[in-house]
Amino acid sequence: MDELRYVSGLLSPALGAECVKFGSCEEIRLRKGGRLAFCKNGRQYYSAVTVNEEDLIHAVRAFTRNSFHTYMPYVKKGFIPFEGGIRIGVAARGNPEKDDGLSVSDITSLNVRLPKSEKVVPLEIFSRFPPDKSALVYSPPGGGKTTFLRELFPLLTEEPYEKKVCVVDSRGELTYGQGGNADVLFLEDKAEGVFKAIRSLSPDVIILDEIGLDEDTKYITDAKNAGAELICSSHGSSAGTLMKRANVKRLIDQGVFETFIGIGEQNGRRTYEITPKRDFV
Amino acid sequence: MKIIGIVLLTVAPLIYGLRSAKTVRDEVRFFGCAAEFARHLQKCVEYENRDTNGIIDSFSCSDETFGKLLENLRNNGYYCEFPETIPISAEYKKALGEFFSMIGKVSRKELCDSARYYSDLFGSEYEKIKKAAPDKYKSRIVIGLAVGAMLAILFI
Repeated sequence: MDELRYVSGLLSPALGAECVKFGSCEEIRLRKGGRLAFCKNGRQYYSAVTVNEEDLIHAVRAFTRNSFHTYMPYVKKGFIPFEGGIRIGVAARGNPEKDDGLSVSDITSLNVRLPKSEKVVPLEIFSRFPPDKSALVYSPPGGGKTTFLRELFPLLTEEPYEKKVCVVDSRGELTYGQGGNADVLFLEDKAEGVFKAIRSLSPDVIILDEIGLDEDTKYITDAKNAGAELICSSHGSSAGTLMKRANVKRLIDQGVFETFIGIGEQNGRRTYEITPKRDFV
Repeated sequence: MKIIGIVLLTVAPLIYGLRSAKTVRDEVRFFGCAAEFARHLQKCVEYENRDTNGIIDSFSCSDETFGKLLENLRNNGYYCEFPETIPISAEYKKALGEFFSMIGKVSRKELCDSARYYSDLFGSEYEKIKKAAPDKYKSRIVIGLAVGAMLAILFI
């Protein structure tokens, strides 16, 4: 609720008031020309207030600390790094005419995801697989992969594992800039971050969120061959759909991951399906 | 009663003159700050790509009115309003409004170009009014004094 109040204070007065009126939720969605929407327990609720361009510009200015110029490289990648675990996704119209690629009025919607204040993953889940070995966490979008990694990596730095953990936090969602006993490459490009980690931080384990691009396969294989364990996450609703993603399949075929953790949902509760490499697919 | 009336009539133009002279000083200080802020913003963005709120925090402003405007911009962004008390002409108020409305909305290059433009605009106005300020300042006090003295003579 505190995060909700904080975010509502950053929105234009009309939208802020609607947020406070709605109360606690998981996501606030601002779509240009659409009605302000809230997501709660997997359902979307619409407010009577319509989001106009001024509301959206006001929100972008507030979320970027009046600094679209500083945050533009991140906005182009589809997000705005923000504090306190609040995640802001951006959808924008492509603007190839412009040298810098994007202007604030090209932004068509914002998705503000509010963090859960308490720990979500039951501790016993982490005892059901060797958490310091390479693993791939998968779930549909918004399924809890980032939360899983966020709660896993601090454990690895402590007893009994006491590993040197390096978090390549390319979107600032895993650590919010502070990794405790882990080394954090904050808002660093993933390929560049893994390269830097291997070269200068001698990590036992590297944590990476949302892999799946063509370029990911190369540096992940390199890091694995260099002797680091990689715990990564990727979108995929099941083992079958995961194997349909060519780049992820390539990594799986190369034997990069020891364990696969599928996060699902049943009766409103999260489920964790843990599969060792030999039994996967 | 008559004496009190004469004193009041004499002092009032003088006070008006002093207030009017203060406006001249405020205007100089305000333009100085506006030009300095635009220059500071341009440098911080061009060389370090720093965020605006950080730039505002690190900017020491000698003019209270301009300082309040920056605080308002920092906290309210798009809904930042200009109070009526700003000691500049409507033309420059409009220019300042345009400058502030660009902050936080445009690319690095556009912001630098715009900051450079407004730094020059406010800077040249600052130089102009700073040069004319001592005479203007003196003349407003002298006029206030003269009118006061004239009224005093008339009533005596």
